[in-house]
Amino acid sequence: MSPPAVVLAADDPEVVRLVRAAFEEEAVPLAVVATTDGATAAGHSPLGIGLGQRAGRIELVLAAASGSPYLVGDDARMMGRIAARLAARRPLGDLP
Amino acid sequence: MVVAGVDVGNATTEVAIARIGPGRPPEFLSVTRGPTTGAKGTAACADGVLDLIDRACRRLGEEPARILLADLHPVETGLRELSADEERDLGGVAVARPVSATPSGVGAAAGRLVDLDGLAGEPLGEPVIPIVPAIDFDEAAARLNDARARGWRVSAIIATADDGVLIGNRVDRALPIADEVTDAADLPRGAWAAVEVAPPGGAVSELADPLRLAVLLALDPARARGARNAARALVGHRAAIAVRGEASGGGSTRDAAPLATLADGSTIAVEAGTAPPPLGRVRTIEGVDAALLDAFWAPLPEPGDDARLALRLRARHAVGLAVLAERSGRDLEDALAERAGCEVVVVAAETAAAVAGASTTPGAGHAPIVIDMGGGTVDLHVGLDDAGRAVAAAGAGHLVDRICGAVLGVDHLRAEQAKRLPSVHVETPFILRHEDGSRTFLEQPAPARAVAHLCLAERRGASLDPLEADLAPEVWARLRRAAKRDVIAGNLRRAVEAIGGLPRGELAVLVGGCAEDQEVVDEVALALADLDLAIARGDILGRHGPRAAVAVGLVLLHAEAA
Repeated sequence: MSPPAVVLAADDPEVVRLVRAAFEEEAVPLAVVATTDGATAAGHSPLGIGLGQRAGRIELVLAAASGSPYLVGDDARMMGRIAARLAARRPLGDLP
Repeated sequence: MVVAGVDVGNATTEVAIARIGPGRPPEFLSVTRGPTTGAKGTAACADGVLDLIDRACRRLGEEPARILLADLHPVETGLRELSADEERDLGGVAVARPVSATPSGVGAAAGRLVDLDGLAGEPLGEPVIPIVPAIDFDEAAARLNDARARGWRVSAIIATADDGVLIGNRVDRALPIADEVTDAADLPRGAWAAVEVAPPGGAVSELADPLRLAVLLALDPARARGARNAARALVGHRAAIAVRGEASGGGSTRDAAPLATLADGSTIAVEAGTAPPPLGRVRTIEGVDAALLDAFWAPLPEPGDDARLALRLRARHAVGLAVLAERSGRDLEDALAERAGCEVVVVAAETAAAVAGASTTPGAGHAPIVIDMGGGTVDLHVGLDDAGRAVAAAGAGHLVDRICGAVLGVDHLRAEQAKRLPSVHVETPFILRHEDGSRTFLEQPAPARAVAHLCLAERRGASLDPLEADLAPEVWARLRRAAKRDVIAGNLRRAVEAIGGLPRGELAVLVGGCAEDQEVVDEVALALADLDLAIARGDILGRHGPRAAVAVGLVLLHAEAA
C-alpha cells in the first residue's frame, strides 16, 4: 500500500530540496516522481494532492479537480508549505 | 390623502405609504426599507427617509401629504474594552506569542538571549537562547551545531522564519524552538528569557503559571506576584516567549471601569463582573455625553466547556454597552418638514405603533403583548386593558453585533453577517463541516484562503467568507447563541420585570429585525417559557414578515385618530 503522501513531480533539484523542506517542517510525507506533470502527481497521490512544474512555475493540483491547477506560484518553499498544510488540514498561510 | 409612516431605526429605516380617508381602512400602497443614514433622530436620517419616500412615490405616481413619525429615542451601542491582560503592567516581563503551527520540541527552558552571530565567540558560562534570523535552515543548523560543539549551552531557540522543525531535526529535537517570531528583531539581546513549546493540541503550562514563570525568569517572590498578568496573557498558546525586564509597579495597575450613576445617586462599575441594574435606573455613565433613560451591558460570552477559551475571552476585559438617551431636540422632524415640503406629524410612541402594526398579523386579532426587537432596543408593549404599558430596554441587535465582532475580531458590518449567517469549517477544498457536526461535499473546490478556516456560509456554502478566529463552528455557534441570549433574551426579562410581569397563557407577537432570526426567537421562547405564552412571529399586513410594524402602525393610528 502507498503511504498517505503528497506527490511532487519535479526534476529541478533545488525545487525538490525546497519542497522537501516545507514538508519536513509541516511533518507531512512527500513522495517524489520523475515526471513534471502536476495532474499525474495528484493521480498518484493517495491524498489526491500533487505538485508539478510547468513553464518554470509550481502547480498544485487536486485529483478531484485535475482539469486545472488549484494554485500556481513561483516560490517552491511556499507552494510546498501550502500543499503540506492542505494535506494536514491546517490554514494555508500566505498564498501566491 | 396619501401618508408615509416612517420608522427610523438604528440600522434600518422603514416606510409604509398608504392612502387614507374618512370611514375606510387605510389602503397600503408600498412598504419599503433601507439603511438609516445617520444617528437615530438626527437631521442626517432625513436623507434615507426622503430617498425611500421618493423612490416609492415615483413608482406610485403620488406624493405624500403627511409624513408620520414615532416619538424617537436614540440608542448608542458600543464596546467598552478595558486594557487586556497583555496590555497591562506585566510586572516587568515582556511576552511574545508566536502563531506558528509547527514549533519544535516540547518543554520550557530559560537562558540569555543572543544573536546567532554572537555564538561565534567564546561560550558564555550560562544557558543561551540564540535568535536565528531568516537564513537558510541548513546554514542555521550548522552554526548552532558548531557552537554547541564548542561548549555553548543552547537551552532553547527562537527562529524568525518557519523553520522550527527543520532546525530541530538538524540540531536537537528535544530543544524547545519557537519559530515564525516575526518581531524577533525587537527582543532585547542580553536579557534573560524563557521559551516554552507545548505538545500538539496543548497549551503552555509553565509560562502561564506565575510561580513557574518567576522561577524560570529568576524573579524574586514579590515580582512573581507582579508577573501574573504576563502569565495570564500566555494562557492558551502553544508556544510562548517571556523576557525579564526592569522591575515595574508590580502588575497592579489596571484601567478603571467607567462608573454608571443610578437614579438614587449610587454608582456601579460598567464591567464584565457587574450585572446591569434594572431597567430605567441608570442616569449617566462616564464617557457618555447624554442624560440616559436606560443602559445595559453584557460581557463577551464564555463557553462553559472550554476553560482555555473562556480565559482568553475573559482576558479581554470587554463589555458591550448600549445606552438609551433622552432626546433634546426635534432635528429629524424639522429637517423633514423643511426638505419634504409637507406636514410632519409625531403620531405616537414607537411601542404603541408596534402594537398596531403587529395586530395586522393574520390570526392575531388585537395583539395584547408585542415584543419589538430592533437594532437598538427591546420594546415590550402590553395592551391587555385600556391603560397600555410599555417599556424600552437599551440593547438589542446592534449590541449582539458588537459582542460577536469582539469575539471574532471583525468590524461591526461583518459581525452583523456573522450574527445572521451559519458558519462552516472548510476541512478540505471539498468538505464542509457544519455547526451540527454534519458534513457536505462541494462540487467545486473552496477557495484556498478558506481552507481550514471558520467561514461564514451564504447560500448553503456557495459563498464562503473566511474568518481569522480559531474557533470550531460548533463553538462559534454556541457563543453566537449565548450573545443573543445574554442581550436580547436577558434584556427582555428586564423589560418584563420592569412592566410588572406578563399574564400566563397570552399571545406575544415578536416583531422587528431580530424577529427574523430563528435563534433569537428560540432564545426568547426559552426565556419566557415559565410564562406559558403563545409566542408567534409577526407577519405585518400578512406579507412583510416581522418587519415594518412601527411604520404600518403609525399609519393605522393616524387613520384611526383622523
